[in-house]
Amino acid sequence: MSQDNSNEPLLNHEYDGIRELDYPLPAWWLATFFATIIFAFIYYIHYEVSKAGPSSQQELEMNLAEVQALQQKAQDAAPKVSEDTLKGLMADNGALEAGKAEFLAKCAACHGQMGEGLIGPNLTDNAWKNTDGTLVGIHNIIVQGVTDKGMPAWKGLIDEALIQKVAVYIGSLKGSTPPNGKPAEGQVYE
Amino acid sequence: MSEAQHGRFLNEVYDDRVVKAFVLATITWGLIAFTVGLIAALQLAYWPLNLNLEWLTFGRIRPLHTNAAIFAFAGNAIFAGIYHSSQRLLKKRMFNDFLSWTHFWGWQTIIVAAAITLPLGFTQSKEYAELEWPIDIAITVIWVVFAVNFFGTLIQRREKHMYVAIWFYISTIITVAVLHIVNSLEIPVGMLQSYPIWAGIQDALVQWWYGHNAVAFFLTTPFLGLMYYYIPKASGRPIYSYRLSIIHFWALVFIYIWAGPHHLLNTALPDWAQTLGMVFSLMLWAPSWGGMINGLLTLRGAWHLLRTVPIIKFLIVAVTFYGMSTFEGPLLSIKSVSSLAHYTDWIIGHVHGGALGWNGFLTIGMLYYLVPKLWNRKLYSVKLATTHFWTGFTGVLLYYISMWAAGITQGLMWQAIDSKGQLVYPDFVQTVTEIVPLYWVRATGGLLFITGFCMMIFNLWKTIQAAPKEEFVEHVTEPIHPKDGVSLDNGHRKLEGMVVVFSVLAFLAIAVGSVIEIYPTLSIHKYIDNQAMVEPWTPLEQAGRDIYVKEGCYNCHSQMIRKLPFDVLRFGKSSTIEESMYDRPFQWGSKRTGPDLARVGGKYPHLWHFRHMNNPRAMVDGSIMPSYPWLEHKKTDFYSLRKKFSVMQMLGVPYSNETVADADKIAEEQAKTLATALSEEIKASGGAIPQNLEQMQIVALIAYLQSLGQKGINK
Ligand code: HEC
Ligand code: HEC
Repeated sequence: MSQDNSNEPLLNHEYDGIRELDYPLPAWWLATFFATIIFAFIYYIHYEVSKAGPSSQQELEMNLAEVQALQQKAQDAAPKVSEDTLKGLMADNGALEAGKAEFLAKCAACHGQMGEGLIGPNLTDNAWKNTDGTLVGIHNIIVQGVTDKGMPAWKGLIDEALIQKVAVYIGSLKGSTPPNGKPAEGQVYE
Repeated sequence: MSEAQHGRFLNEVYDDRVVKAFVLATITWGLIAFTVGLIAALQLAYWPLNLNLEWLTFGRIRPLHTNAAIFAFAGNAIFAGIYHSSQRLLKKRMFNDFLSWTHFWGWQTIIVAAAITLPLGFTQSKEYAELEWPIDIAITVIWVVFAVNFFGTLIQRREKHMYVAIWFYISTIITVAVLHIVNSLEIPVGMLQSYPIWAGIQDALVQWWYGHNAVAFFLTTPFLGLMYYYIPKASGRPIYSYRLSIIHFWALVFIYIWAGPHHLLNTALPDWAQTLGMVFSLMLWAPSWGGMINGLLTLRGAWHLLRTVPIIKFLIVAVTFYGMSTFEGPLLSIKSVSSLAHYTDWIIGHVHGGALGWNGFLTIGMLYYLVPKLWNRKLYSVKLATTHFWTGFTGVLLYYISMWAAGITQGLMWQAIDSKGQLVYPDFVQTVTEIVPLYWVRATGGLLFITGFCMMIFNLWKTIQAAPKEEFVEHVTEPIHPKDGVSLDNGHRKLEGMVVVFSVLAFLAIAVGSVIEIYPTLSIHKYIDNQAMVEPWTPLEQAGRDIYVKEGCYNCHSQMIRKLPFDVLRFGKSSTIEESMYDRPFQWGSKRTGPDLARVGGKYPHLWHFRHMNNPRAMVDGSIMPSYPWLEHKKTDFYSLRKKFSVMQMLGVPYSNETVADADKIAEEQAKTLATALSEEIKASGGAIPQNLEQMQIVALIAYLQSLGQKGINK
């Protein structure tokens, strides 16, 4: 060791030329170590022994309650849909365009690019399995889905205002008879 | 040493041939491991690189990469360093040459076996423990060979005391043996297939006790040992603090073993285990930094070396990365931080800070030190080594920063809930396409790291080529048994002269945490709610599940909805312990490159899955999931189901004797029903129906996917 630091706390250990000093443990290091140990005890006792802190299940329930309150508030504030308001939207080209774009993004994979049907049924005919074919009926089925038959519930995934536009867009497809249309399913409503 | 003055003398010749062999293996496997990693990285950036070939899909390539990096690259590096440094620290040739070479060739054979079986889909799907049972047995045998060789050398040592590096080697050898054996307890159901004896949360807990401590005792303790040898050797400086060595060694081995459950925070794992995992991870911070301090401060008074000597650059930056990773680790173990980071690429970044920065750079520094020493020839080019350093360093930084950004971005997108109580990004795929550019940055980082590594290979190759023809053999003249001298030691110093006592204490240090955490879950029934029981998989679903395991879907998909509001909003009710109580192996997963699948059953029609598995992009724009077209023409293995079900029954899954006896027929029946329904959907949509659809793997897989989350009896 060619170091000239003769006041270093050099021990008489030597292994293959390696020597060891014996500096004391850095104070900040020790402090950190003790702090984490103390924290560990307090934290563990707080949550797992005295159960003063909530369990992870309780915490989840509290968080979910907050989310549900937000959802409830939003639902109460949302305008009620009616056949008339939706018919009104039908005249709005911007709304139809927005509905179409969303349809292509989210629905076409299952209902075909033109609503002709693929995995899900044909949406351009006048036969319906789960609704009476009114705009409100279509709207409601989009919101709730047919979850045991593989039609997702879109509530929460698509904004309510946009769902209305998609419903109206589907309404506008009626009778468009695109090529390769899937045969009609369900009951015919005029 | 006073003993050196008397006693008889013996000329001790070190066995450096086996060290050289391990050095060359490290370099070779390193290049392979990194290249496979780069391929995996590119597959996430650009899905067509899955090449529609089953052997090369991400789900099979990623385990190949992790196993190669850990066991082939780091493993051989550890062995090279341990064989080289131990002989010198103990002043003793390795105990037995035959054992040394059995260890070497045995280990290489295991690696080759891994490299063949993993792409073929033979996997247990437990991370870093994917290898199937025959290879598991081989690993155990070879590890015992290594242990006998090492402890034999230790017993015959000519140095009374054991240096701190040796302590770390001891704890490595003991603990890895325990981890490997406990986590690999499995029952074979075929030549290359097995089910673990552990199920559900047991399997999860044991696996992450193993997984975390593979990091601790395969990638940390042995490398700390190497650090304690190569930094003082390369710098000529004494170790900073002997006291610190003692404290941080014992604290590290005692505390590390408890930290496994931090991989399972916010899951269905019982709270007490999660909390233990979290607080022990926090307590691990200081002991880890003890090692870093001792490494860095050893350079006190010799900092100029950092500027001039590439070896020192690599070693010191390695230790710095170690410090960074071991600060980040405890941070990530805090439950709320975990809720953001878990399942994201942040974890991947964290791992690579450790793997590339710490293990990679330490190994590279060691190689630059070792090759000139072993081949007795000056390094070919110091300048090239410096270039290597800067190239590699830039690579690691790019990797780390890009994954950090990707992970936090995606984590925040998953969490975002708007004022209406709805997810802001309900489309999972949107959170994926957002970070694809960062996958390109990561791949660039990896490429730079490999480029640097190739510079090293060239540099070392030139060095070896120019080496003198006659072999260089290093030896020392040492007194025989100086350790028999009169002892005046006390305290820890005394312990350093007592191999057996030291080893037993090291074993006890890891045994405490292991037993306390694992033992309570052995009777899983304590945690099962009889009101929430589930039915076990039907034979066809189990066959589909085995395909899910074989294809490595767990590399991208979790099956564990955490107790977090945004997880529940996105994927449904949080997962329960009961829902995976029969799962062998458990499939909770650790990374969500794709969405959670715990409740995907019934979400889509069969036809959706059929088309999606064939080409995910047909159903979801921008998906980076590989296509699995071969599932439509590869047959399901019905035949083995009887054997599998008898094993399951033996392990306590409540199958009736009839179900076991007719497992294959029952599966074929269900497959027929499903295939008929699917065919009708395909026909109605105008698609082509594959021949003998009911025999194909896609049907079994769909049966499994459709049953996920549907098994609750009181659903
Ligand atoms: C995963 C595939 C899938 C997606 C995506 C999908 N649907 Fe459906 N949809 C279905 C299936 C399947 C049915 C039929 C359910 C049944 O059999 O009753 C259906 C039924 C419907 C119906 C009722 C049809 C009837 O005859 O009663 C409407 C309306 C509808 N979907 C609209 C949409 C809209 C709008 C979107 C996009 C926001 C969409 N669907 C996205 C699969 C899908
Ligand atoms: C490279 C990572 C990767 C691998 C490997 C992978 N997936 Fe995916 N998976 C994804 C991504 C990304 C998505 C989201 C986009 C999509 O739906 O295609 C996804 C989506 C899915 C979905 C739809 C989930 C939902 O709720 O919409 C299913 C089902 C699925 N994968 C099944 C599998 C199966 C089965 C395997 C193994 C055979 C597999 N995946 C392998 C990445 C992967």
